[in-house]
Amino acid sequence: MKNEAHKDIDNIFRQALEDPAKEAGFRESDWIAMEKKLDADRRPRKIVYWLPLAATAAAVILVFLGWLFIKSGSDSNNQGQHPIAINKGDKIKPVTGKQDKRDQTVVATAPVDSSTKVNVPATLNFGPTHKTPVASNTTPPKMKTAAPLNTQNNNSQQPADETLLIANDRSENLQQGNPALPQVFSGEPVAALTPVDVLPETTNSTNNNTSGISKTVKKPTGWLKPQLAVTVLASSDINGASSFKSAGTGKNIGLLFSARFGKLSLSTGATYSLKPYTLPYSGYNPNSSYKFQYSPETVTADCRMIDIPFNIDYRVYSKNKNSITIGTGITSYIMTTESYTYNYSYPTSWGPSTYAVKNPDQYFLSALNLQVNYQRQINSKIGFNIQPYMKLPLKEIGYSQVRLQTAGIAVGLNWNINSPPSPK
Amino acid sequence: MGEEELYQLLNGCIKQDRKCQKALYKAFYGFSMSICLRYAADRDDAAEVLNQGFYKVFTKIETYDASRPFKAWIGRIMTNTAIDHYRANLKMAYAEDLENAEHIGEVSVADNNLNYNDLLGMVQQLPQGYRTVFNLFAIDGYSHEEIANMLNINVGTSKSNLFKARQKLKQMILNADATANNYNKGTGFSPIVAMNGSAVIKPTYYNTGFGE
Repeated sequence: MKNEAHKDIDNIFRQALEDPAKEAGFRESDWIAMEKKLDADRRPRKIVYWLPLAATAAAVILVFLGWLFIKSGSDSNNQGQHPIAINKGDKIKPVTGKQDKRDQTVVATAPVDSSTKVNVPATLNFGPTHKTPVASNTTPPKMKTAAPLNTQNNNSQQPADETLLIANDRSENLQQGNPALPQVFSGEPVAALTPVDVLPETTNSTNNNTSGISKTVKKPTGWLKPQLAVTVLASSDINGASSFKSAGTGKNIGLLFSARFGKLSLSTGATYSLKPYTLPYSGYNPNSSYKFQYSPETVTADCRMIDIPFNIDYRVYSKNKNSITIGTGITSYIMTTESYTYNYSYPTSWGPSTYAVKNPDQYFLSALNLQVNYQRQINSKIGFNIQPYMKLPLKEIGYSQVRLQTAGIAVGLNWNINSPPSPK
Repeated sequence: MGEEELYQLLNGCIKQDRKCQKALYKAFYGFSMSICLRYAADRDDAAEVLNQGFYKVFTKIETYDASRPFKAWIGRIMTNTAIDHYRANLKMAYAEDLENAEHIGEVSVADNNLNYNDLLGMVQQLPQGYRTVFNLFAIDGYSHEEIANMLNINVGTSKSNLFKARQKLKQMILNADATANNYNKGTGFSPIVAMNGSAVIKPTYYNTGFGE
């Protein structure tokens, strides 16, 4: 009886309210409130096609900042290491040798020689590790110096106004750990030396050479013995099929080996890459007879592959510890995993949602590489790299037969396997 | 609305096309509002719940499985939105309502002439906790266990609130009947009117021919 009464109540309300014959009428004011809600919470759409421009802008800014950094570093070096200006006809002033330990500056002394016409700075900064006092009357050192440092040469035939600016060339020798450096301090007569004056002993004609420093300094020739290096690179890039309109963000990590021959270098290696991208169904052209009953609107690809590049780079700038190279090359892809997700215009599961390629293929010489590399040497062995790059398609790749293009920025560390080629 | 037309609207909604959104909103406004009115205290409150529900529809439309009826999907969203909307106040409502419970004897209410607006008005007059449980159990067909989970209350609380809701509704029906009888006898009456806000709808009393 009680349950019947309850059922009566429930039935009365259910029949009347569950599916009312006359529903509430539409109110425009409710829709206006709805629109405001949608407008307020609508997030700006991702404008993926801006990414390439942003990446390009970032690369340009990066290179510009690198150039500024290099320039400022170069200026400060010039201020700290004054080049020796040697003018014919100048006289040497007698100075007494002493070493100022406080500021770690070596003050060299040269004997008075009225016939010597070399005027050099008396103060040389060698840094904190060189404390060897300068002997005033010892055998001339076995070292290669700039010609004007030969104070015994009374008949120098240098041009009267010749000024030698050699700091940069010789600073490279110092950076390479030149063993000739300590010999500076065992010899005399040294009117004045800077570290940059010390050069490898490559010829015996130094003292007699009167034709200027350009003939006495041999530049290192590294063409026969390449400098080998290994580089670990990690990068993030955007990938698009034919364009970057529906690009996906990829990740890469890899190992490259390089051999540098002077300004040119060759490199190769392997990079494991995740390359997701989305393409319209019209751009999806698999070599398959399968036909969709309902065509997807877009297809999202998830490709994982080994990227094998072969690049050649040219060093366009190198100063102090910084260098910039530009390069090109060609890439081959070995696909390891390849799957596709089909996105339908209707929210439905009428068609297949995914497809994974069972035997992914290999695609040799598939993309053209273009890259700019900024490298800063941390020490003689290790350097830091930043590398904006692009990969332009040369042919279709993947099950979907797409022309995949990539743009990104890589960062990495390189390690010099062998010593830099020594000059002869 | 035909299936093809519905899919075109859904497709437009996926692309956030405002015209398609409005068309879908208008097409299911009445159905959705009928659910929201049952859970709300008045039309304005129901409109707020309705818009919250449609916001979920528009932002989660990709999750709709087209193999199932869209009307059922949107109805479930409205119900859940209404519950979410009131969830924060439900426990307080239960505490208040317990003191006001009163027992009404077993009286048959099967024979009455109340229409949709009368009954909706009665449900809207229920305290919030009672109204929610009654809607879920009596009209939407959920079990006490499901209701307890949905509202985060005990099964016993759900049963208790259902009982009290029925008692109150029964009382309202009896009052409405008594009022109608009084009207027939020439005494005054005060009809219960659904608070749907669109218009004050006069109750229909078929015995008297009053109303419409």
